[in-house]
Amino acid sequence: MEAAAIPAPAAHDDHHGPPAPHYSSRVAPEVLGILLFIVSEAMLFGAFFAALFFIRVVSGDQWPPGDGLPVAVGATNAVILLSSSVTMHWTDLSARRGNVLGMRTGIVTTFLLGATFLFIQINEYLNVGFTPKTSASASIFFGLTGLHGTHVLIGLLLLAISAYRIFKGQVGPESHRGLEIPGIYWHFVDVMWIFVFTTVYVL
Amino acid sequence: MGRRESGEPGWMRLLRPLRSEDAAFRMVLWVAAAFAALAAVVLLVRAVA
Repeated sequence: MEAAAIPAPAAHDDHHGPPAPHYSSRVAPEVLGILLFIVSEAMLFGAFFAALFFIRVVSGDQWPPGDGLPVAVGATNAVILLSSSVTMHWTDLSARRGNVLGMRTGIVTTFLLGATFLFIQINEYLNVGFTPKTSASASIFFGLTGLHGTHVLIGLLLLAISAYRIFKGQVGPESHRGLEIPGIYWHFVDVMWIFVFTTVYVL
Repeated sequence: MGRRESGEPGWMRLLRPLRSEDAAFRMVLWVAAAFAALAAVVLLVRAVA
């Protein structure tokens, strides 16, 4: 068999460095990146939900763990996170309209609402009356809500970076992608809490 | 889902609810409304049963 001939480089090719990026779609690379990340996150949450349903339905472990779950606390947290999505959307709208005061107020309010959510959840952990070692149900309760809480923490970090950029004057109508990406992530975290709250606290 | 835009891969239509902050916010509202309705039905059934 004859080896394939390797084409010789063009004699007048004076291009140096990597080739120019090729966009195969109309989706901005940053948006595509966060979308693919969220898809992988949805699969991670799916694994935890599968464990929850297995423990509740198949294994027949007692649910709810302990003497019951504080539904009012979970509902309060749902309202807080939904409110934070509204303020996040307001922040993004303000950025697109060049409203600096709206951006600053919105991002700070969103951050504070997210921090309040985490504070309430940690307080719930300390007073819920059982630990992850109590039972399989207790383990998946802490596992699923803890996974979500970790995502809220990461979201707060992203919001803090966005707030820094807003207060530095680096976000505006022409450059709000750095705010939009954390916004998409924050809304995803909010949606996941609606799923977690419904399946863990309500159903 | 909407129509496919020029130059956009077909599978990207699945991710349209997350393609912008606007779309993601609308998704939050839709999901919240759907699950609020589900929770109301569950509570109603429990109250009746």
